[in-house]
Amino acid sequence: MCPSYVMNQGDITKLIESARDSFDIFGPVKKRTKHVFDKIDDPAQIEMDYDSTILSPRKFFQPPSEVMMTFDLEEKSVDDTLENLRAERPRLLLAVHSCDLNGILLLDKVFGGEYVDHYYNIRRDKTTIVGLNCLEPCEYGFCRSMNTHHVVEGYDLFLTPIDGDRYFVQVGTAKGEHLIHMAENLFTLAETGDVQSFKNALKHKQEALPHEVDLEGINEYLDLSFSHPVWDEIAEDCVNCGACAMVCPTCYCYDVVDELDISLTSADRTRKWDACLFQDFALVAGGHNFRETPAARLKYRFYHKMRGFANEYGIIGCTGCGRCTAACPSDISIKEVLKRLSTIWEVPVSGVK
Amino acid sequence: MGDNGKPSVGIFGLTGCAGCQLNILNIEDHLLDILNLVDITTWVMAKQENSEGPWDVAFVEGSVAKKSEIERVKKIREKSGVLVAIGACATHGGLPGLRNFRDISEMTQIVYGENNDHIDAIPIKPVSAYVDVDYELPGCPMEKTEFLEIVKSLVMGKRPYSAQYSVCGECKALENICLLKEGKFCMGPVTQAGCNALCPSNGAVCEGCRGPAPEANWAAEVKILKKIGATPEDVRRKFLKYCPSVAEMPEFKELEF
Ligand code: SF4
Ligand code: SF4
Ligand code: SF4
Repeated sequence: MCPSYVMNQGDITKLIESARDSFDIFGPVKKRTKHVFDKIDDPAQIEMDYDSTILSPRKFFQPPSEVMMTFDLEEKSVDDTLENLRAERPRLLLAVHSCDLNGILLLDKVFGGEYVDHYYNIRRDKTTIVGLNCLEPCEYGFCRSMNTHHVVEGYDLFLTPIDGDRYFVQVGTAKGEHLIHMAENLFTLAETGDVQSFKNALKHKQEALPHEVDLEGINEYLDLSFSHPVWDEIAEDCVNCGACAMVCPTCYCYDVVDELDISLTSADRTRKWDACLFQDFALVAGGHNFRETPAARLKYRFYHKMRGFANEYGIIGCTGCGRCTAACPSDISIKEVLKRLSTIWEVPVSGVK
Repeated sequence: MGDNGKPSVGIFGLTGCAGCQLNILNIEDHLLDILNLVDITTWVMAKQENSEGPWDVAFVEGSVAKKSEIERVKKIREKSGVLVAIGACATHGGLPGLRNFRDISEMTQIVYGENNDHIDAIPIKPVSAYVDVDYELPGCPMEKTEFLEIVKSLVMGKRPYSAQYSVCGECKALENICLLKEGKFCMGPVTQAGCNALCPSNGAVCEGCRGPAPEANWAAEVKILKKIGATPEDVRRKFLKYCPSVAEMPEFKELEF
């Protein structure tokens, strides 16, 4: 068991300074009225006290678009881009909230399970993550309901704000310990008083984060509402834009496109984020579309998160981060949809779509 | 095929600003590559000597705005294997379609005065209103990357790739702040992607110049815009600004503003 430490909140900039030579550093910074995870060039840019970010940390491990292979048609050769990835500088990702740490753990199951995705895993291995505890609820999140407001793994260091000006620092891995050694003078071993403050902070959190959606019975009420007209009603507002999937920490679908250079001598194989909301997502050769209607696509996203993911990986695929709700142009709230479904305990209407 | 075994190409302009043709010229880095693949036998904007066809591929820019253009576009169609409409004017009527908001004889009089018998202006329509169109490259102007994609695809005999979703998908992947959420009337949710969310990425709302996304949920967009304060007239104008052809679509006629 590693010892725990405390550090001054203001010293986060010094930690960034000390880690700079070894890492490319990323963390929450302001983008007009919102926050985004971005490269920290000037330590003063970091905003530890942030609500949520537009995109989730998924973008660091599975970027919106990446070239996986290049083809040289004249030489008849293929190169994957894994070597370039391996050569990249290690990354330090700062201030990742609990919901997002849990999101990364879910992606680990997808990309590191039966089929190992090297592109994902190389990036993952090269990243050191400093988590940050939320003691207050954020605008759209409902982590407590999804049980993602606490973490048992997935961080290298984990910070909990205590006494208004310090962090209680838990060490999760050897990578985390390494980070401590890099800036030893910033950390002091936690003492009895610090542990008491830590306990108080967690108690405060316990009281502050609301429990809004009942997961008990979720399988049952999802099954029973599968062909309920409520879905058509929700779909009336959905424009199938896919914004919800783009921002989601646990949406991982991608499309692979081969593109020839205009000289027709070389080509790239690129993968880009895809979304089950898009019309051609389930379109197959011969023109058959497994999810023909926009309503079917919207519904699919909910069922995959809440039901399919659990079938496959034994855990619900939504972290309750609330980003989809924040991003939806039609203000469709996943939390409200779940609440609504939980009231539908009816024999399914016949005719499954 | 042209004499040199390459597909022959004609590039034509109807009523519009000629910006899409200019955009082809602007693909400076790849113009020679394009000429390696195809033989441009007709392009009045860029060539001194132009053939009368036939062409393997015709690229047509501009809307059909005059009676004489109906005949012209039919001739081009007859003499072409594949016809590609390029730019919002050719695909959806484009900005010239603002004219459709007003009475056409009144407009003719305002612009050309009393002696306007020689003006054969008709309501603005896209190329597809008169002839079969094989492919459309929407946008004001058309995207250069999409032009390159279609040239490559036609030469290779494969179907060109195009995004089957709306601008929001691209916009969010770029981590833009949503302008709708700031109360600005953005058409991104119902507009065909492919521009890489150019306008929202630069802080300007999507004006819908690329036309409706597949299965666009217009009723939802009307609701969204009205919720943030757009009047029914604002919404109607937003929908028709770049795409007058939308007014003819049954889904549009059924919309309640
Ligand atoms: S963000 Fe909203 S409107 Fe867009 S696809 Fe998701 S639920 Fe539908
Ligand atoms: S579905 Fe929505 S609330 Fe759940 S993890 Fe994805 S973005 Fe967050
Ligand atoms: S700014 Fe416009 S295009 Fe971008 S997400 Fe918002 S509505 Fe969609």
